[in-house]
Amino acid sequence: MSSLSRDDVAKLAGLARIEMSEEELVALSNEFTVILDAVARVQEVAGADVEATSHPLPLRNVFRADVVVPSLTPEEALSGAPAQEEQRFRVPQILGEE
Amino acid sequence: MIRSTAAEMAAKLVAGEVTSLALTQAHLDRIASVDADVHAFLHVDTEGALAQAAAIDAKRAKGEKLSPLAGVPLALKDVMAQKGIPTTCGSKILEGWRPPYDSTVVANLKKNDIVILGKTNMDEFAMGSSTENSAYGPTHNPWDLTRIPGGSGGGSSAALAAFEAPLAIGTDTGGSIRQPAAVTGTVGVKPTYGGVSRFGLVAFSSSLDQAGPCARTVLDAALLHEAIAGHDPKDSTSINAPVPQVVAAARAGDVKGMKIGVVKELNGDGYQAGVRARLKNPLSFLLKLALKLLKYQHLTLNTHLLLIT
Repeated sequence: MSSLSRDDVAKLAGLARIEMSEEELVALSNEFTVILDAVARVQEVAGADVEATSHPLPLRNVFRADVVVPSLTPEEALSGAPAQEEQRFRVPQILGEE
Repeated sequence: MIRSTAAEMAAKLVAGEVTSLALTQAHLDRIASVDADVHAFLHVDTEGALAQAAAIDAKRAKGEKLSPLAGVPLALKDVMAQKGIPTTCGSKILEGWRPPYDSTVVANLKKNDIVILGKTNMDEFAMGSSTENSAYGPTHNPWDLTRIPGGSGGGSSAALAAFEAPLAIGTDTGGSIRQPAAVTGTVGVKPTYGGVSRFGLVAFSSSLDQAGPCARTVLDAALLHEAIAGHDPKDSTSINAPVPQVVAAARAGDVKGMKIGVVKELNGDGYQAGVRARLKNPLSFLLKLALKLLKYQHLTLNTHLLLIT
């Protein structure tokens, strides 16, 4: 049986930039263990004779011809943007902060 | 009038006994009188619905050939993009957003002249099973306002049960159409994945999400399914094959020789006597129709947890 320790959860929370209390870290590490147990159960059921599926449909490389079709105008595409500049979405700077 | 089935409403529209405008107004009136208690709707598009209805009546008056559900009103789950209409997914994050385009489901509804009354409440981003987790407050079960209408599509199921709409759209990742239907005594189907386009459906879990029909009868659900289903080049997982003829199947009602899977665990602990009876009665009814019942074991609860994690 695999499990995730409190410290593992703290590391994941740090990566995700989510602040968590000590109680939350302990509670989540317990919940992760339940989920990992569920994974283990699925592995028991899916024997060697069951082919791995990544998708419910037997689809492969769905292509279409590269033709121009009507699309949104820049004004329409940006109609919900909180801020815009030169027909682009303007977002807060996240790199190169001082 | 609002208590008829969608098929009956459609027949009256064809016969000229009622106009889409009157039918739409009757449902808007019903919403105005009961939705303060039920809270099925997040947004009611009174003006848009009436304009659409009037346009359909005009087409019919000119003798244009219309689709089977033309003029019948519908409630749309707030997870589907509709051009110019607020689309929030039950979240404050999307508050004020008006999509600049129609989802394929909405485009198909419009093409079939189905009148869209407004957007229905849901658990935030469809993550929930009770419609208590909407940022805009819970929806209540019309049968008993102290109870939940199921979820995440509790707004759509409650709108049907409260006769605020004869048809509704739901989306189902791990039960969000089927469970609210069960909890409100209505009909809801999760179509085969790829049967209905996901274009313009705000994703929860892309390889499981599927939009589908909600109604008060099986025939109404089948009619709605044939209106919204079909191949869509904008969704690469859309099935490129003819839509199964579910309306003909619903009208024929022939279930002889079918095999029905029954989840063994439903006989297990934790179910109230009334719930057990509701399961047992239809099973004995189906057996009388010479169906084969296959019992199988189920890992849904665990696997669902896995798949959405």
